[in-house]
Amino acid sequence: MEMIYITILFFTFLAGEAKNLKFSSLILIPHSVFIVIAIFSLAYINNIPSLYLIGIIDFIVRAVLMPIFLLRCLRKRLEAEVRPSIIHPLSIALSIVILSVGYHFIEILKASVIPQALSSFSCGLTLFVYGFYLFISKKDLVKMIVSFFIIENGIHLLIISMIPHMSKFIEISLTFNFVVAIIFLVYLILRLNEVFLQEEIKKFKESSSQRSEQ
Amino acid sequence: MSFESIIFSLSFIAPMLASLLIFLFGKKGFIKEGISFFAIILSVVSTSSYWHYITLNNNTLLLYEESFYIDGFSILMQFMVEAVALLVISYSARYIEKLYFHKKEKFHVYYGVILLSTGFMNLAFILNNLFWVYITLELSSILAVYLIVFNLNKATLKAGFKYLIFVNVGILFSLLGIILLFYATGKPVMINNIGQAVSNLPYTIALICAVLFIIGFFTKSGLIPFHLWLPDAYAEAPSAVTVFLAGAVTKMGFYGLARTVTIFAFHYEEIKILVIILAALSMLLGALLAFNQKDIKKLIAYCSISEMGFIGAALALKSYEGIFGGVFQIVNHTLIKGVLFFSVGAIIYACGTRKIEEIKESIGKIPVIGITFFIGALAVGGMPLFASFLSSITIFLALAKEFLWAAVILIIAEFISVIALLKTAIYIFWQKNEHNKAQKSFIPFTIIFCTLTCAVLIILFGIYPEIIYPLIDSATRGIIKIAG
Repeated sequence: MEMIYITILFFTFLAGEAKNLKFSSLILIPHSVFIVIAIFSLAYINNIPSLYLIGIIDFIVRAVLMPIFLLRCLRKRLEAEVRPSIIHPLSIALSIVILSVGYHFIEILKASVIPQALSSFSCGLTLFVYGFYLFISKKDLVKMIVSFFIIENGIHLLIISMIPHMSKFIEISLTFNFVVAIIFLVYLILRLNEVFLQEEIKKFKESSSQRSEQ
Repeated sequence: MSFESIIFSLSFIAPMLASLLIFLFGKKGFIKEGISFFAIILSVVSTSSYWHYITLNNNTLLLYEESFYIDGFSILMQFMVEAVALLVISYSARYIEKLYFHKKEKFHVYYGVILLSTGFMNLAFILNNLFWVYITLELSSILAVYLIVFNLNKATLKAGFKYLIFVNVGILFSLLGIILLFYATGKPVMINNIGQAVSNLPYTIALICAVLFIIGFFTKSGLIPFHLWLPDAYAEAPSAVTVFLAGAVTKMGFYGLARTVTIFAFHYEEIKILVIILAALSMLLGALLAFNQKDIKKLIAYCSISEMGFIGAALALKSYEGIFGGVFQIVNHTLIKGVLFFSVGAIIYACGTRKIEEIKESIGKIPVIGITFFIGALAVGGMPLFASFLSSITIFLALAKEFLWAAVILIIAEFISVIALLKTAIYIFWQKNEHNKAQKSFIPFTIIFCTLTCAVLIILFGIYPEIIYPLIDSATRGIIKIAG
């Protein structure tokens, strides 16, 4: 199980720190696939059949729908990330600290304070903390959605690890809310991209007409 | 299904069904307005029936295997949201027709979203399980973004994105709090047993839970330092929508605060102190940031943050007076923001701008709106004869007993806010251009009516508070009862 969580954290790091947004969005596919694998493993090891349903829904929503939505956001815009508020090398260093040190610290904390929580707890909490770090350090709108996605995945793993027998109807409703929020965010970004593109075209036309007048 | 259960469920089902009808058939004629009014009236009838039943049942109702929990606070919040929705719909009819004519094809969606959001809010106020409260609360927040970006220009889209991402990320903290509470207690946390659950929590878990709830619901309410979305969203949304945001959507945050953080503050002194410090920060910084704003809606938005600080502080106090003042201030804040933003909407209707300088240059004679704006400005300052005087003085006295410094900040913040607003009001209405003095601006009756309604209610509740006291008393008792 540990290897699965470390792989999730590795892909999360790539998604968070990649400067190319297309790569960042695509890397969320293996990130989500490994989350689904973790859920199936938890369902099998702890004998919780209802988690299989959650795993299937997660595969559709997180591994298929979300990357498609995020890739749509990149239409009519540059694929390079808007400069974040923390310089890239420092951000990479901070990410490594949060993901590796954070994960091991939370693992120790879990073992001593809440041993009865399922093994995904440390990974979930690390994702939540790292997602929040990304949220406050990144300025790019697509990267903000990526960070929201990571935070939500963290919360999702926390629910599974802390209350695995919670009503599945509630969990599905939470996922539905998440999808609705993402759809609205993607819609806003698409419209913003259009507005920015129109502005660029307008500026270009103005500058070219000025040049021809001269 | 019995007749009674149908009546009970109408408070949220009527707006939801009506929104569906409007989405499908609302494009024609006045169908959208007619259906909206009818649905909200049905909701009001339903909420009134709750009021009747809880007075017979020891001020609380538990329905359908404890799925629903209704007390005075649920009813007060429902009445408030319904009243706001009714006024916003009445106001919007002529307002969006003129200012958003280019979006004519989408007017029915605008009405539908207001109703759907109202339905989810009404549902959130009566649900018992905290997870369901969170889900409905989040859905109503997400829907509101459509209203903010209704104009679909660069500024509104940016404001909408900021609102959606900040509120969603912020509110996830409260979800984490709910998960932790569920884990620590070992069973679903219901509003009717949250007091007992909180009192039995281990100390560290309780503090972590409370901090998570504070981050989540402070973000939803737009309190400092989690307010970043609020000024832009208020400024860029159509004025009617701004009233909906200030009077209903942000109040969901206070509902969450009263149902969770207040309970923690009852049992843990540290939480009370933390909330009071953050609320005092909101009071003071909100008022200071209001100064020198060039955009009239942003100015009112910052004053709103300052006033919401009073509510936050009051809801953390472990006394009947404090919570009573906080609940009364929730109602007054809605009315004050109603009168101010409706007045600003009328000004925008007449002048087509939000910039204070430009308004002064182009505004003609609109005496009624001038008066209502002054009423709103004075009410922000908690002047005698206004309902806000009673709520402010109650909060001040309750705060002064335990936190004198916070009570002093409250008075300073009120003073700064009222100066900022009066300065703007005098600048716009008394020092206007000579050539504009003779010119009369036309404002439709519905816009004046909605603005006047809020202004009259502020004065009415100030002179005859006994009209609203039973409801506020019942709401206060409801909050204290679940705190255990």
